[in-house]
This record gives sequence, structure tokens and C-alpha cells, in this order.
Amino acid sequence: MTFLARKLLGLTLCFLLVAVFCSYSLGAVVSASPTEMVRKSIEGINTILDEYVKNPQGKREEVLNKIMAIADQHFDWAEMAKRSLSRFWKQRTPDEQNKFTSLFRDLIKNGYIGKIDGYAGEKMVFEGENTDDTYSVVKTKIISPSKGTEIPVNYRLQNNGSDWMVYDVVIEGVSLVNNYRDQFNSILQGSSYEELVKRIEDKLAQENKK
Amino acid sequence: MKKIIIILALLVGVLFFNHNSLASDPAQGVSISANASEKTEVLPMPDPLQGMNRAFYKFNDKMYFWVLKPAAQGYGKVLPRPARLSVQNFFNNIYAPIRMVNCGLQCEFNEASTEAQRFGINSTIGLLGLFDPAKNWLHLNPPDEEDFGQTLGCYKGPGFYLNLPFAGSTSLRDGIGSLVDLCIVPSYWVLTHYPAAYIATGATILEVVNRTSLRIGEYEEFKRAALDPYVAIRDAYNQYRENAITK
Repeated sequence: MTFLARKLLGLTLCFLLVAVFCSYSLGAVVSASPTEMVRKSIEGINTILDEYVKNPQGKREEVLNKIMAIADQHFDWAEMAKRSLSRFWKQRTPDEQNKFTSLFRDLIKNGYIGKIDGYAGEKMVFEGENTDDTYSVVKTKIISPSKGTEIPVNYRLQNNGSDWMVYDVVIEGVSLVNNYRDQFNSILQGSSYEELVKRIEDKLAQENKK
Repeated sequence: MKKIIIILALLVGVLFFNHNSLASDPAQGVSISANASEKTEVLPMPDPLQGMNRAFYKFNDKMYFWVLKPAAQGYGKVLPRPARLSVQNFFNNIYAPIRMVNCGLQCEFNEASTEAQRFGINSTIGLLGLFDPAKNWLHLNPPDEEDFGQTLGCYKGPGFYLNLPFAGSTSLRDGIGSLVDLCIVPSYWVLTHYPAAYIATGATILEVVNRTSLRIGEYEEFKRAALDPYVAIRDAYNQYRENAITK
């Protein structure tokens, strides 16, 4: 091997080391791993639910608000709303986008109320994680002895620079965001954005009355 | 010397190109996946018979609230939960041959063998499948369930969506698949001959009522979260089946 070749090899190694170091230190900026993040928030929610089961006199609305406070820290509602509106998102003004994000959050919150009473001490196990620089999938399974079922639930997360935020929940292969996207699409294709907003508002008002 | 330059070029190439963007612009509705391993965008299922399907969906929805749910609630009061879980095990076990054959047809021979072992153990030691010693004692966990609709799904798309009275969501492909699967259940050949046909119908009703009794509230919850329950169910069925086929 000539001198030049050795030098080149050395340079290559240096370059590689720097590259590896950079990618690691970039990763280190992000605090908790996606799995840790999901685990922490689910455990927080389970604690609230366990308390509610033990002491059902507590107000459902209050319990739900506590759960939503945890969800707000870890769910990227804007990203979810954006993905669920897909190509129609860009056509909206920033104000409309903000309003839609809050409607979307309320829609999820509303859908979750029933789950509070359906909770029967289900156990969650972690089945691994697939992570790269920007995206991550945390795989879990919800084991329900009272129903005799094991349901795979995957959390999709995106790295927003400092935290991993959930942007989709996939239950038995069914993505929540995709499911809403299909519903929104079918309404938008038949009518208008205003009609879609009205239908969500009507739905929320109707459920709140019950 | 040349070799080293080539290696360098390759290394630089690898460093730059492994950042292949994993997500396309979500606003375009193109596939988004993590580690590129998971296909997440499912093509919407065609629904040329939407008028008919919606009518049948409405029918099924009313049937659930007016007939099935009250029946299941009454049944649940009579039979304690562990007994109902055993009934569910019994039916799951009867359908093992369907899953086994379809595992084989999809070349998943390990899974086919697990299904066969589970069927053998649970049908005997598990008292006709009422219990699941294969899982509880021998840790033979049930593999992913396979059916003929999924076997067909390896070659063909779903065709189009169907919502049928009593049967609910299916597709042209999966409907045909269910009919083929029916012929694999050994009991089918015995029970479809009069007067055993009544037993088969009774068994099906028992199975449905039993399963519903364990899952009261799930459909209500689903409906509550949905903006258009018909579209939500159609899409959930589509995504669920696509996921089952790729597994």
C-alpha cells in the first residue's frame, strides 16, 4: 500500500467517525426514546383509569380532561388533522387549519369517552420499536382477559426536533388517521369544506347532549 | 489506488443515500411509513353498490340494537363470563382446519403445523376445544388467522365492497373466500343435511350471540367516534383485511 493510499484510508476512517458521531449526537438531543414516551403516557392514563374504576363517583368529564391533558403533551393534533385532511389541508387558511385541528381533537376526545367505561384492566405489552431519524413505530399489544382477545396497537411517532410526538394510532392494522381521512374525503367529494366542519360540529353537539 | 477511490465514492454514496426520505408529503396522500417496512397507505375499496350496501348497513345496525344486543345481554346474564370464553374457544377450535389449510396454501408451513398441533391438543385434552391448554401449558400461541379470502388476496384485489344482511362487511373476494372456507369445516358436511341443518343454524346463532356478549359496547364506541359510520366501517374493513393479507 502506498503512502497516499494509507492517508486516504485514514481520512476515510476519520470522515466515517465524524459522520457516526454526528448522527449519534443529533439523536441525543431528543430526550426520551419513542417506546419510553409511549410507555410513560399510557401508564399515566392507566393510573387515572384505575383510580376511576376504584372510585367511580369521580366525574367522567373530569377524568376525560385529565387524560386529554396527557394526550396533549404527546399527540401532535395538528399533524393528525393535516394528514386526515390530506390534499384539502393546503387549500385552507392557517386560521381554518387551527380551527380544524381543534375540531379534530374534540372528535377524538368525544370518541374516547366510551372507552373510559369500557376499561376493564386491560394489560399492555411492548413488542418492539422501529425507529429512524424522523419516524418511529412503537408496537404494543393490548391483552384483554375479560374478552379473550389480544389486539395489536401500533403508535406512529414523528420527531419534531425535541420530542417524539404521536401522529397516528394503528389498531389491528386500521390507522385512525386513514380512517378519518376516508370519511372526510367522502364528505368533501360530495359537498364542501364548510359542510364537513358543520357535520363535525353537529356530531359533537349531538353527543354532548346525550 | 483506484480501488480506494471507488470505496470512498461508495461510502460517500451510502452516507448520502441512506437518507432516502421515508415520508412523502402527507398532504399529497402518498404512502408514509417508518423504516420503509410498513405499507401504510391502503387504496380505498371500490364501492359501486353503495346504495344497496348502505341499505343493508342500516338493516344490520337496527338488527344489532333491536335484536342482537338485547339477546346477547340476556345471554350474558345467564352464562358467566368464563363459560362464554370457553364457548368462544370451542368455536375458534372448530375453525382450526380452515386456518390450517389456508396457512398451507399461503406456504406458511410453520403456522400450519402450529394450527394442527393446537387443534389436536385442544380437541382432546382441551375437551373439544372448550379450553386452550395448547396455549396455557405448552405456549403454542395461535398464529395470525388465515382464511381463503386472504389466500386469494395474495393474487387478487378485493374487487369491491359488500355489506350483506346479517353477515356485514365483506368484499367480492372475501365473500367467495368465506364460501370456500365453509366447505373446509368438517362439521359443514355433516350438518347441512336435514335435520342437522337446524343444528348448524343454531350453532351459528349461538356463536354470534356469544361473541357479541363479550364485546358489548365496542360497536357503540366505534359509531360514536365516527363521522359517517358506514364509510368508517368500510374503510376499517379494508385496512384490516389488507393488513391481514400482508402479514
